[in-house]
Order: sequence, then C-alpha cells, then structure tokens
Amino acid sequence: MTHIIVDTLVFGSLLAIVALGVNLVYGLLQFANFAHVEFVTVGAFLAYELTRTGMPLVLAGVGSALLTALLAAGLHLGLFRWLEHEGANSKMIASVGVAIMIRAAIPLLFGGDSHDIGGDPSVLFSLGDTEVTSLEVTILATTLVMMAALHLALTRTRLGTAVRATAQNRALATTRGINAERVILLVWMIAGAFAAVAGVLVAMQNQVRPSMGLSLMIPVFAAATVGGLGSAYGAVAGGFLIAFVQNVALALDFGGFQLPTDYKDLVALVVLVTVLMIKPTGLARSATA
Amino acid sequence: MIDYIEGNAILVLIYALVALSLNFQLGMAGLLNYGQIAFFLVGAYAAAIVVQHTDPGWMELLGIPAGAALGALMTLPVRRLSQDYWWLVTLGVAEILRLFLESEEGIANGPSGVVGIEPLASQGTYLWILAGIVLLSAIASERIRRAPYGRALRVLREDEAMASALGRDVFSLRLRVMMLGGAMAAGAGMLYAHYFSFVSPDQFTSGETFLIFLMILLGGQGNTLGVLIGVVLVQTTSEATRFVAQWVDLGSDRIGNVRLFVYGLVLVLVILWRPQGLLPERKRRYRDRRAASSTAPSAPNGEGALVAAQEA
Repeated sequence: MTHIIVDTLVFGSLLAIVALGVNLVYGLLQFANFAHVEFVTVGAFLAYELTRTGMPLVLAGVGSALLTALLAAGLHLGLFRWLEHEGANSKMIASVGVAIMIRAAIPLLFGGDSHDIGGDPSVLFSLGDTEVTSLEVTILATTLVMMAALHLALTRTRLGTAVRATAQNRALATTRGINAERVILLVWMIAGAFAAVAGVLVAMQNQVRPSMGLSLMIPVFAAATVGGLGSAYGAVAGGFLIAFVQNVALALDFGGFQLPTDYKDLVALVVLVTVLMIKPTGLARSATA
Repeated sequence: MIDYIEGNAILVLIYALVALSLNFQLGMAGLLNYGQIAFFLVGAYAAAIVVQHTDPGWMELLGIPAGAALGALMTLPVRRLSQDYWWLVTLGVAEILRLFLESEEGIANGPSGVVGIEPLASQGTYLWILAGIVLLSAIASERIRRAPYGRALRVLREDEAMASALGRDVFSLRLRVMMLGGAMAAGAGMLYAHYFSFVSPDQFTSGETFLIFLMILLGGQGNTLGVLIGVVLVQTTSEATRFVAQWVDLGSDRIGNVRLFVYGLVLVLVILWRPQGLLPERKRRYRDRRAASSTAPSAPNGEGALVAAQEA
C-alpha cells in the first residue's frame, strides 16, 4: 500500500514541475506549448553532456537548467513573440513544428542512444511494504523545493506579482508600468528550467533517452489541463491526481485481470475526460481560460 | 521506373484523401484534430483483420462506419467544453489505439503486423481507380465547402459564439464533420492496406498526422486545390530525400531526422510568413446590394467571421 503513496508522490511531483511550465506559459499566452515536453529531453541530454566533461551531476543539472531556460527564451524571441496576434491554433501548430524540430535535432546532435547519467540509488529505509531509495528522496526534495520557491517568488516578490498581474490582465499590467515582454520572457525561462530539472531527475530514474519527453506527453498535458489551463497550482494538483489514479489503477486486480503498464496513458486520458466533464475549467477555481 | 512513379503516385493519392478528410476539420471547421491517423489506422486494420481471420471480404467495409463512429466518440467529450484540450483527447485516442493493437497480439499479430492483404487491382488500374476517387472527393469537398453546411463550419471556425447566435448547433456541426472526416480517412486507410499489403502499428504514429498537417498548412488550409498541392509537394520531397541520402551517404537514420527537422522548420516558417498557405482560401465578398458599391466596405483580414457570417 505504501508503495502506491511513494510512487504517486515521486511521479506526481515530476509531472507537476513539467506541467507547471505548460500552465505558466498558457496563463500568459493562451496556448498549450506542444514542444514543452521536449525541454525535458533537451535538459537530460545537456546534463549528460555536461557530466561527460567531468562536472558533478548537481552542477550539470543546474547548468542544463540554465541552458534550457535560454533555449526557451530563444524560442519566444525567435518565434512565439511574432505570433502574438495570431489565433491559438496557429501558435499550437507552430509549437508542433518546434517539437518536431527538437525531436529530430536531438538524435542528430547527441546520437540516438540511451545513456546512464549516474546518481545510482541506494535504499535508505523501508516504509510499510516498500523501500524508499535515496533517488526518490532526492526527487521529492528537489521538486518540493522548486515548487515552494516558485510559490514564494510568485506571491512575495515584485517580479512574481508582476507575473500574476500580467497573466490576469496584460493591458492593465502594462499601464501600471509592468514590462510585460520581460515578464513573459522570464516565465518561458522558468518553464524551460523546470522541465530540464525534471529531465535530469527522470534520467536518473531510467536513462537519458531521445524519447523521454514524448513518453511524458500525455500525462503532463493531462495534468496541466486537469488542473486548469493557466493555473500553476492546478498543475501541481493535476500532476498528483494523474499520478495517483495511474498508480492505483495499475496496482488494482480486477478479478484476475491487471491493467498492463502500457495503458497508463489511457488512465491519464480517462482522468482528463472525467474531470473535465464534471468541471470544465479544471480543478483550480481561478482558471481564467 | 514506371513502376516506381506509379507507386509514388498511388501514395500521393492516398495521402490526398487523408489530407482532404483532415481539411474538413482543420481547414474548414478549425478543429485541431491531432489524431487523424487513428481513422486511417481503423480502415487499414479493418482490411488486415479480415485477412487475419478470413472473414468474408465485404466485412472490411465496416471499417468506414467504424471510422465515423470513432469520430463521433472523439467529439463527445467536447460537448460542453472548449477546444483547449480537445487536441489532447484526439492525440491520446490515436496513441492508445496503436498501443492496443501492438499489445493485443490476438487481434492482428501485435507489433509484427499482418501481411498478405490482397491488392484490389493491378498497380496501373489501381492508380486510375484512386485518381477517380480523389477527384470525386475533391469535387465533393468543394461542394460541401460552398454549401450552407460548409459556410456554417467556417463561421464556427472564426467565432463559435457567432455560430450559436446564428442558430447553428455547434455540437452537431462538429459531430458531423468528425464523422465525415473519420469515415473518409478510414476509407483511405483501407485503400492503403490493399496497396501496401502489409499493416503494422508503427505505420500509424502521430508523426504521420503531423505530416498531413504540414501538407494542409503548406498548401493552404480550407483550399481544396491548395491541400492537393501541399500533398504532392511534401510527398515528392520526402521521396527525393531518399536519393539525396544515396548521394551524400549519411545513413538512412540521419537523413530521416534531417528530413523531419526540415518538415518542422517548414511548418514553423509557413505559420510565421504565410499562414494562409501557398493557395489561400478564397473568401467571397458580398456587397450590400442597396448601398452604392463605393461605400461597401471590403472586409479586411481580421473580419473573416463577419464575412463568413454574412455568407451563412
């Protein structure tokens, strides 16, 4: 039983920090960036390349987060800034193009192989019917610190207030002297950095793989949407909800039939449709979209 | 050589059918359907399953209503909801359907797929049959575009509230366009299975859907001829890269990725520089017959909804 809780917390927090980025960007630009999960792959590969130069994993993770943040900022400056006045469909399709480019570029730049990134887990303590590893503690600690830091930044700093103000009403924020363009750039960078860190953590669990972003796509976007597009807190709630239902559904024994793990995306999709049927704005009450 | 050209022409025509089917949804109704390949898969697997289980051959025609039913099924969750997440449902359904066929080996051999689907005619004849089908579909799609139903779809694309205000049932419009596109793509999938004679799950990844997106966006959303041009351009350049691969000796993997990268880039550039595509959708302009023609405002670009609304 406890293994469901541990797995939910670990996977949920990973989903949360990726889905956060989707929703932060959505809050400002009103479109779901399809390429967002590719930042996960980019982050993992950059960190792997950095460790190969002899850099310790923690530093490599920070470095990769910074580089991915720059990539995300570049994406905004080079592309999405120019689509500001286009409809959501145009931005969505453009982000599909970007996702395809990143997906194709990764094997071209880094090769198509999988790699170990290190950080081998050791068992720390047992909890009920499961053993908690150092890696699981690392993932939980890192993601919780990141979420707490983001929460404090959004609520306690001037820049965070500016981000929230711009998301709520950009025109009004601009008249109050907020540089909306700078706010948007900052949010892109946070989104990229968070996804990159998630990439490093996922790589420590499994491996660095060209397909790692793609395999997170459906749960991440489901988490973002279930939570309420545009809502940062909703993304966190959505991440944990999706992770929880997935783990429970896979652990259940339906009278001799067990759901194969291949179908965990199906579970995410069912949660998505069910929640939105009941509450079309998603879990977060404040969803403005 | 003739064989090779004929083979490619057949593929172009099959893709043309899929592109026309997606154009109803994306180009006319503005629906972001990221799961179009699912319908294609349904049609192709209808043919495959009939071969696998030696049912009577006509049974595979059930794939076409199955495509329409899947389209209806995908539309149900949007009944009350915005499009903001609907694309995720379509994408998810397509991926899960593929996964399902991959893991349930009893249905159609799982990942190894089904071989030996009989051709319906010799290659040369098949080409002409397909050309006829595509021509009919193009004419039908033009007629639908100009019919009141097509105009209502365009109103829906430009402004959902406007469509409701004009008394259109938004849900029914979407439902019908998904069923229509689904049935058409399933038919294309069936024709594909009989040409290729081999069907396996990895022919139906969502990458294929995005290839069709590229064809439509490059050619011109909502413009039937434009869509066909987009199909020809993308499919021939895709074939051409095989020859380039032989010259430059890059290895098929790398060439595949370079090609994918270029496709992504073209998609982005089209949206940046020519969002209407090579052949833009033609918009009919109406003048108020009573007012003098000089005072009639010509609709600027942003007022598509108004123009479409007047048409409807």
